[in-house]
Amino acid sequence: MTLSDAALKLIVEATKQPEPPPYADVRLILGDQRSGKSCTGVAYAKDDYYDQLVGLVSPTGQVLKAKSLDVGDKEYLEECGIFPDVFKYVRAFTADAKKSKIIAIPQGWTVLSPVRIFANFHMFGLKYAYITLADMLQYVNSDLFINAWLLSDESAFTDPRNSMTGVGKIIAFFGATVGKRNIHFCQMTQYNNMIEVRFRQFATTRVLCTYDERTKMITVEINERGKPKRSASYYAPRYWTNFDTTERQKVSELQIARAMETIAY
Amino acid sequence: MTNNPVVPPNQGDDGLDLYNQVSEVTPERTINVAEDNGDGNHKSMKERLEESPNLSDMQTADRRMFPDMGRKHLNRLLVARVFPDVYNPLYRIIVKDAIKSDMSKPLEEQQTVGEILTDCNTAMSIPIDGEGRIDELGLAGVAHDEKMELEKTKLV
Repeated sequence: MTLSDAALKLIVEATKQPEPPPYADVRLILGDQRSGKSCTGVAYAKDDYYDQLVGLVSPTGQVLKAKSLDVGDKEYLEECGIFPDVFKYVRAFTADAKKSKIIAIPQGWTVLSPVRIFANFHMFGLKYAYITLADMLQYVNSDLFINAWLLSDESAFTDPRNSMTGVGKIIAFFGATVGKRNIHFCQMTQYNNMIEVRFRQFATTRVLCTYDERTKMITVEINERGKPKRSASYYAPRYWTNFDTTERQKVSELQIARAMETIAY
Repeated sequence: MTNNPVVPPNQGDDGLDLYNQVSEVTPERTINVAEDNGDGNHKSMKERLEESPNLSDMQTADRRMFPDMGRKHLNRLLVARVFPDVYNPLYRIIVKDAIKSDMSKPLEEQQTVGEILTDCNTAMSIPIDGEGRIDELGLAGVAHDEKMELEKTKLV
């Protein structure tokens, strides 16, 4: 689905040059298989996306200015006996922004946000760009990868076995510029040693995930540089609509062909 | 995304035009899980994190083991050395001093005698024979070990 010009204009107006971060935001999200790592990466990006929402757009292209619920709005909804779900309710404004009202996001409408998201897996319900390793190399010098969330699932981008190849060197160089690009780089992987050593050293936040099948809650223990350790649990199905929990990383045909050449029949 | 040659830097638009060209929106997936709003499950991960206490385990332990007594001299006493033979006379002096100093405060700020006795007993019992200092150093040592473990994981 492509967004209308009015929707794109709303996003452009809302895009502000953010302040440079005090340190590079590289997050390692670790955990066993099926422990909620991908869900946690998506949660980080989606929460920021909705936090900075600027409007809604209908399937026919009609744009409505809006913003996410603030503390007062949440208290008001609770008083009315409604759970203040930030993914369901927004405060919508008239065109002149003089009047506003809390509404439920209509079915089929898309949320507009200036937050950019890149991922090497498919996402739904959010404006994002699907990228492969080839795309990262192709656009590494452009201004595409700036002021964004970059979600890297498995070790496709940061495999330590690529570290001495041309690809690995460019990706390591990219990792060293995450701070300057103002990127929130989330690497989801099972163990530390499945990612290149430079990224382990760049990492400023480590997140350990565990999943409870019975309650469908993911517990995250977060160790952020300069801050005390924190943990929290959240309800995973809230993010399952935004990605496919069973999507597998595709291996390129060229890589398969090269591997086949090395097999002795 | 298209298979073009290497793209040079854009000028002035922070890559927004390029992002709008390559990005897409697809409808949300439908999942067969019943909505569960009980016990705060309607909250996002960010909201849950904001609710979680911002204290490390060490800071929580420190606050429990060395509570704020509300009086500066009692807080200093927590990390002093109190010898057993001066415990009783010193205890009597600081209790009387606390009661007398409270008498000059407004009624709502005064502590009851029981509260004063409890606070003074806590302030005196923790530092007996310097045990308070030893416990504080123990906490600092554990915090240091945790930090070293974290540094090690970067290289593993």
